[in-house]
Amino acid sequence: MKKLIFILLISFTSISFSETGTNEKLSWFIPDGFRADPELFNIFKWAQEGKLPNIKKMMDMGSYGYSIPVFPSHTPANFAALVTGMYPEINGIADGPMRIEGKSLQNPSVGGFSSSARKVPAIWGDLGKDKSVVLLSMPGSTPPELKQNAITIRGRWGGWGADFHSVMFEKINTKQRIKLAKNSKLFMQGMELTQFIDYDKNIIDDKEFKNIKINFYGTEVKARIKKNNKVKKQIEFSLDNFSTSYLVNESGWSNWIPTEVYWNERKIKTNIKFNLVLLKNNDDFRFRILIDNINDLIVYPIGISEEIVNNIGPMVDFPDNFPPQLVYYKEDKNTFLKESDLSINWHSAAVDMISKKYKPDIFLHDIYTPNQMLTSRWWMGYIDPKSKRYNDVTNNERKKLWNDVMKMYKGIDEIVGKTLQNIDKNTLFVFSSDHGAIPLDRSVLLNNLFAQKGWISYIINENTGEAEIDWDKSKVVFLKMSNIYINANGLGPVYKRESNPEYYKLRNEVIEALKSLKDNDGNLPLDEVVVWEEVASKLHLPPDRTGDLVVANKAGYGWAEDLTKDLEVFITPLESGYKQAVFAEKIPGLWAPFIIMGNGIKKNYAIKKPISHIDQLPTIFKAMNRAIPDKTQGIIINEIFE
Amino acid sequence: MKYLNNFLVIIIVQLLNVQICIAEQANNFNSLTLGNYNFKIIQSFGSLKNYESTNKESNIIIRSLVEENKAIAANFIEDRIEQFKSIYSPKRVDYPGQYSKVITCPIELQPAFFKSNDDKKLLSYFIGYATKNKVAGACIPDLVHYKHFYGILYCSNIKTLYEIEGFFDSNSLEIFKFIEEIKCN
Repeated sequence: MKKLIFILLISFTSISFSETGTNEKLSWFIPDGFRADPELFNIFKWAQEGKLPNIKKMMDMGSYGYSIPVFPSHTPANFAALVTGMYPEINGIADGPMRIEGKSLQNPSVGGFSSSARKVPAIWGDLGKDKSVVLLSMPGSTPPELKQNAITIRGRWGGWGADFHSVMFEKINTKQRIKLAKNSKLFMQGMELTQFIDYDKNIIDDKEFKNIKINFYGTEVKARIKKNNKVKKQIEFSLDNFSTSYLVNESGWSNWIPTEVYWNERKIKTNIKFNLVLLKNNDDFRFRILIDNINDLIVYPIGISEEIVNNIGPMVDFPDNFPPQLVYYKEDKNTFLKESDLSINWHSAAVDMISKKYKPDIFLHDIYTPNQMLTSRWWMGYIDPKSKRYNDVTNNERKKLWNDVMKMYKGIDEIVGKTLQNIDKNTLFVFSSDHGAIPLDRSVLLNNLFAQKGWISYIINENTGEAEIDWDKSKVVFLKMSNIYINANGLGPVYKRESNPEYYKLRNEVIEALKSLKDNDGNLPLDEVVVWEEVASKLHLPPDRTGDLVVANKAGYGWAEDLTKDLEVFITPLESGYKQAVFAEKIPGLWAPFIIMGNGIKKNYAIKKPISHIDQLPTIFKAMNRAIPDKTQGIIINEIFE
Repeated sequence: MKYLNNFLVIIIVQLLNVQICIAEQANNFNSLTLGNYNFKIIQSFGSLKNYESTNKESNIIIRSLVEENKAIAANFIEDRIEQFKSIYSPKRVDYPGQYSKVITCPIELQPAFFKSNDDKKLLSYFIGYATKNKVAGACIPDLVHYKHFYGILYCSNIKTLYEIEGFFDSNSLEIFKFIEEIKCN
């Protein structure tokens, strides 16, 4: 322990920023969905109270305050705003999927998480010209833009390389299958995130065992449940017909197991881990296979993935999936918490390893874990008093939920600490986030509203619960996260933005329907509806990448695409946290932290007013004495400079 | 690390009309020429060596590494080609919804794939479009800025793999002249 304290002292005393020194290097840590606000998630107060010691050190050595996301208040738009210093109208990133005229609405051409969607360079495009760069799990970083002197690790959903996701396996249950229809079958090109195992086809009873055979990314996995095991709830897994096997108890995990899976017929070396989420009546099972999130085909350049895994083990990038799968059974929460720990430990080790081994000048790092926790089913709805579900738990239960959240925040603080240990006196260290998260009380199924009006033509598959839209015959459709597409003559086969009287008449009817929409309590979910001609001036969005209408909702509501048989517009969703299409200026729960330390930055200085996300990049460039890129819309936060 | 073995060796590459000549000076390769293109070594992580050539109409980057085993080299090429193809393959939508499940790149903006293998070389490459930020995947017209070359070459005589990426003026035909220069002698 003494040795550790000594090392820490050495590390911290070695950082000595000055007024005249230069910030040659940059370390920018941007955990996703790390809410920070002056009310409920007052991380600066928590830091003063000793709960976040490393964030406290950053505050002591730098300037700190709150930063407000751009609209829409979600990851792709806000990561792009942070790393370009521009609004979506200029950088082009208005959403995840973005649809354009002349293409079908069901097959978008541009994905907001891809580097190729951005119309301007990111910060690494500029700094990467003369500095070495490492990008770890950064949305918008893949396909890799930097061709030399740079390492790009995984990105997130950039549509590049062999990207594997962890998968749930569950004994088939038609009711559950329909419930999950919309959320399990979304990975059209990969595996469904929850696989339902049909007893008749995949489970074979013998004298001693129920034998289950599954396919995991092309690799056969066998599992068996001992029939007369009344003492322990456990499943035995094997990759080789049980010459080697892994016995896992309920809520238990195996170690990492090296194996191979397949991607586009290519064999990929990887590692997997088994988790038995639950086993009821020695029969109803739900288990999860966690997979190493990096491999040689999702990291650039070659060889780096193997170096990383050899040094710090298989990557757990973040817990759960998107859409979330660990929200259906109470036992899912334990799995979530374990994966959360694994992800924080991995990212913490990665900071240390990357800093020491590659010594990058520029290191940008994201972890998705905070967002996953705060928008999951289990926490936000019961810890934020603004939630309608707040009183559904006792104070003692709430205390436990806060402990979970604080543990995650402390984990992020430890990653900050790991960064502090590895930076030197020429490094500018910035800590921020893309957005916060707020309670989600009601999902608003806008397409059910449009179906009631007769504007959508569709059928619902009785077996899966999924709706299929007839685009040629549909006139008004809402598509996530905040766009409504309108054409009185039909929205298919390709989308065309009309300008005839019919169009304006229908558009006005849609606006009226949205404005008059009320829930059972008489509350209006709509905050604002903006026509495409005004999205640039009012919302800083690019008209060519948005719908005919863009809709913002009030806090507590969340727009949803679902079409259901009952045509109910308001439902209570499983997830209890949200952040997508709310005006963040009005809602502090969506704010994020901004802490900056380095040469020339005021120490222990609280920034007077919340800044905008687009202000961070020009402020960073000024601190590094670099020319501000053309088209930058943010302003320099001059008050932080000595 | 299988592809990185034995990287630090002297490499002399003969091309059809000209020489690719990588000279080693105290473990520092300093230059490489390919036809009319002169490449200079550029900074890179680890033991990988990158070379860059820039002129008015093009910017080309070459990464080289030694691979003794032709079968491993062929596997490497297939891996990288599949990785590149993934940029254009139909893929799940980020932030998947109920009705927009797959992102697709219009056929007219997808790259064309070519393969040219003989006794001396294995060459697979794509010709397509890249964005202003020099990244492949320009799948809507306003993102198209460069003609883009991405290829992997293995010269069996010198047991070396080259990953080649070029960005060419969209109005120029230089990309085709460049491709003609890619040969192993």
